[in-house]
Amino acid sequence: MNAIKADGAPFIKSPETVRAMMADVVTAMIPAAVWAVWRFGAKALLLMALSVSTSVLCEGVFEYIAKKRVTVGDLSAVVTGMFIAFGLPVEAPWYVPVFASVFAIIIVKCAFGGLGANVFNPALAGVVFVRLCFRSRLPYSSALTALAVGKLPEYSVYDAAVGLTDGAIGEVSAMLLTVGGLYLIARSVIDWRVPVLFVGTVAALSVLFPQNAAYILYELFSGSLFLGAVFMATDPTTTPVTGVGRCVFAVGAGALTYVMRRFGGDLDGVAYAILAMNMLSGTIDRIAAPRQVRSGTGTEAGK
Amino acid sequence: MAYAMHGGIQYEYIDAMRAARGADVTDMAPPASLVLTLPENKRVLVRVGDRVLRGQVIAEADGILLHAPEAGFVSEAMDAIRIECDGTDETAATVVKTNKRLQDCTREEIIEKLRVCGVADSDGVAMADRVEGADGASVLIAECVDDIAASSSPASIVNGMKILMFALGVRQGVVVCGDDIIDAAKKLSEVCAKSKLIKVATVRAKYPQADKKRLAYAVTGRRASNEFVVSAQTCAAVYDAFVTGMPQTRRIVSVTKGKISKNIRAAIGTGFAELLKFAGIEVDDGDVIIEGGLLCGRRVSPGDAVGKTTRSLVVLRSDDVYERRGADVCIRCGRCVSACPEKLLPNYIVSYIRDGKEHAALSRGALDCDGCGVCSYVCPGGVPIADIITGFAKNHAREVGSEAQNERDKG
Ligand code: SF4
Ligand code: SF4
Repeated sequence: MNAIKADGAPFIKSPETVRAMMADVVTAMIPAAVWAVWRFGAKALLLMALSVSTSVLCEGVFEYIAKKRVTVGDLSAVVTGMFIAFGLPVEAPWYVPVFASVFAIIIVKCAFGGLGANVFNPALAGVVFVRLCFRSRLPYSSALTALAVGKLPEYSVYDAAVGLTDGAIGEVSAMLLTVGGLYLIARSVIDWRVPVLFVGTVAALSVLFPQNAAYILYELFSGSLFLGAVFMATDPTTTPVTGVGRCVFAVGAGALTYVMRRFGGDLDGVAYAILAMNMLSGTIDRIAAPRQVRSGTGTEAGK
Repeated sequence: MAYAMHGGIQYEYIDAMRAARGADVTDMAPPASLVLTLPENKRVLVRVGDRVLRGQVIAEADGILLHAPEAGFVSEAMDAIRIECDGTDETAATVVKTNKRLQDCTREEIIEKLRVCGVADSDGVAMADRVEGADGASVLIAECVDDIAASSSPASIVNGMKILMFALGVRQGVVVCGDDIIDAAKKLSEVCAKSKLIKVATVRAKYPQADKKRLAYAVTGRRASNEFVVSAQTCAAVYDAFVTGMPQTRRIVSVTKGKISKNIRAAIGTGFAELLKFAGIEVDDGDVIIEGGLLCGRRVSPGDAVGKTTRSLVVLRSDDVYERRGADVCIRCGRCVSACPEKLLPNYIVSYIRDGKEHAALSRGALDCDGCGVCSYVCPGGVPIADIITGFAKNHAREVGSEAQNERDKG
């Protein structure tokens, strides 16, 4: 068996780059971003601009000072910045996106070794961080807040799905987030099973153990479930690399979301659920490794 | 029925080869001189100045007889044998037709025929040895996915299969075609229609599929079933050897550059430069010639020549040659994992290797990597994954020492 080839395969040039991938993610966010500006006004645009520019700046400055290769060109900081803005309410004061971005990029991403090495999703961690720090400055209201006090919201389920509601600026339109998701699936950037299983798990648990049947659809379309399922649970770095592992991740995140919403202290639960699963990604990979085609010829491979 | 294979990628550059794969084969007249490269393990049976006839044994290379593809004079007989063809069509007296019917032959007779005719499989192993050593095979698989012989000689392929099945005592044969050569697959099906034992299956044409284990796995769904896999072209060579007694002296080679792709039947020993010229392909400065597949082949020079295992030649324009893309950082996107035909976790293996965790890398199957390069190709982070893993495997093999290595090679 000629297992080893002398002169390095592959020979043909590859078009794949991180930048192209991230550019696809940015493109996929455009519908939801436009909707945010249309619905919440220019302030939404300001939030995005602030967090994107802070994120990019932080990454560039950190890498420059640490004498590393400056990687802002790969657009991943832009994506993180956009996600941070997406997770904030329009009332957020200007310094909130700035703080969130600094924390996300410097502490969560760069300190762990930069792109690819961070354990937690930087954007989610950044948003959770500022929510904890500046709770009083970040009013939050969505269908979930109404349901929490046992009332049905004033708008219809249709409004909730389309995004004619309140909430963080990027999360309101489940429909447009889905459009972005379909684009990413079509471009093979994300694995379709992840958002489907994530939302599916929450839906299934809600149907099996309903709090109130009238709530179910509101619960699905409100809060950051779609944002998380389409964009956060599919982040390459902080989720498993195997197909099976990703499915496990999605189901786990969905189940945790349900539990937190139902019994936990957080209205939404999605961010915490994903961050919790982030910690397990490496372990899931270890367990969910595919069986090798060869039965371990010449290796100590056990399984 | 189409079977799905795990891993691999479909990519654009190969469109031309695809288009040509089911297309016609052009015969190329042997050039003025033929060069038969010899391996280290060889016995040269001719001397400079000898006149050789077509089909005459001239050497033994790695245990396989090598024959003169054309009549002519030997002008070199050291590390390679060079024959200056004299343009006559004189055939050696040893080339004799078989008059017996297959049913009347014995297994030994067939094996002997394969040995005398020097038929090698696509890995360069003697078919005679493989048939002789095959134990309890239950199915014969003729691989027609990467092989371009499908359309040119469907009858020879199927008849060659029958011969092998007879010799192996196998009652089931499958011709596996890629779904990109539907026409050729149809022709094969027509030929097979009369036979109850042989059927045609198609698999999605993805790269790389010609690996035996994976192919068999995709068709039989079993990990280590007793399949006997040969390429379609080898089947045709078996048929020729059996019926005409003509040794293996021709290969069908697909030759590609950019949008041009042609299938050419050339004499073994035809220089690549001449082959490319015949195909109307120019090699510019900086172009890279690859034999055996765009991702996983090996680099050759125009001075090399067609051998018994040559099946494709690609000239990559200098602009199309793989280059490491700056970053070299794994973003854990998992593309290498879903693309790896060996179902390894290439990104983890690389990170173990880079962290010096040799044991972890080994237990993750680092040595199972066959260097196909798909992972490096799909990696957006520009990690030279295949280079790193194969480099590690080589080092490891060296360290383990030759004795242990021999044990492994047997396995
Ligand atoms: S080069 Fe090795 S690790 Fe990479 S895809 Fe091929 S077999 Fe898998
Ligand atoms: S394809 Fe490259 S970036 Fe993606 S997981 Fe594999 S090594 Fe990492």
